[in-house]
Amino acid sequence: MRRPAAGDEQRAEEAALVAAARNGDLEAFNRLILRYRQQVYNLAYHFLHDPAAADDATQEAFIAAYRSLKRFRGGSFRAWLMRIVANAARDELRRRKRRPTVSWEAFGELDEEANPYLVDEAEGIEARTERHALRLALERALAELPERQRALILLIDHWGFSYEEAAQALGLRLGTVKSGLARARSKMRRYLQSAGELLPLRYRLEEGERR
Amino acid sequence: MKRRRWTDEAISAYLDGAMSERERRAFEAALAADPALRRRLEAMQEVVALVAAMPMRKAPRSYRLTPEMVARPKRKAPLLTPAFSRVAVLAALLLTVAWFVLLRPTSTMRQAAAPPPTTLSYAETNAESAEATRAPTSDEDEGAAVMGASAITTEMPMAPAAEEATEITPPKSAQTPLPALTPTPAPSSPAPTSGGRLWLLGGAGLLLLLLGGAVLLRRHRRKWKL
Repeated sequence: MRRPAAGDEQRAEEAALVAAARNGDLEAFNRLILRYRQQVYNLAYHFLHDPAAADDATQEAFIAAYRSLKRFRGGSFRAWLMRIVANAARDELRRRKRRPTVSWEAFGELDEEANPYLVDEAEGIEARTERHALRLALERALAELPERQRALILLIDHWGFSYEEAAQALGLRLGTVKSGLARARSKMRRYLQSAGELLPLRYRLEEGERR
Repeated sequence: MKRRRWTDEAISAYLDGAMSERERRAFEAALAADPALRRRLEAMQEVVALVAAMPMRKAPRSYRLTPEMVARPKRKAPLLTPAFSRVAVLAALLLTVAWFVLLRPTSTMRQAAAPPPTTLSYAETNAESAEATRAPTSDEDEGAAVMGASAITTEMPMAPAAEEATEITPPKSAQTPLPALTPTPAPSSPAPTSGGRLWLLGGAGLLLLLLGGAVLLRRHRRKWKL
């Protein structure tokens, strides 16, 4: 079920980029950014539910990562990076609790649908509509989960992180990763079974056994 | 045979190949015999597949970093300059020298010139000796021991006799030990050997502490921007 981890070649290339960036090669770090910016931005988005705040957290995380690269002690670079963005997003959430702002829902769609530069012209209207509907339905389902479970299911089921990497990225123990992921999957299943009409037709789940 | 109830965590672990070999075999045997379990597994598989296929939001920009963006803002005035740390080391050395030269138990006149540290050091050393001897047998609390020790210094400044320390523990006399000490804290005769040893030990301890501090300072100078 698990997607294969990045190939050896890719891993070696990444290690070389990290080593170069550690020695102050900003261009090498920019290539790492290019590789991970979607993941970093989306994880931030799923913590904050606000495109503008996710954008800020992403930028902040990349700058912080570059500056603290000397402290990276090997292992999974993406897990290390995700930990930085998760912390940046959590800090932002705490700041917001201290001075509440307008709810994210009030912002509406401040992403690619509202931004013509982000629209993929090659994609047909139907496909785009379906992709949009699927994304919204799943985002809504994910929003029902507690923060940690949401991050776990994204890291492991979407980006193919191993349990160990997810544990590192979120600062959890392996046992917590395992149980949290199971809970996240079960809750998602229940939500998608009960609110299946939100999903595009071909993605709807069958009514299975409910627990 | 009673059928085992498989948890969602077990199903989830099975999906990820995170089960032990024995568990996996038991789970697969149960799957073959239990259509409801099969449906639960399939439903979870569908969720995993859906999340895997979930379209992500497009990052609104490239996030390319420029040298200006990653340059650390220069600190206006560092809290501790190298000069200051050098002064600190010098002060530490002077303090050590002062300990040996000025606070010697035998140097009466100099002690009178600097009474508060003297009284303090005597109170501490006596407390230590009192504590050291009484610890194994007595179950009085520590505070009482310190008070007792202070009491000795008030009444008989030169008596480090620890056995007496445990006896003389009137809390009231101990409440004002230090001011009473100041007029005649100093011994007029040479210090007894145990007092001298404690003084030496104290000096050595202080020196060690200072050396440790200096090493720490040197090691973390870069990190602390000294």
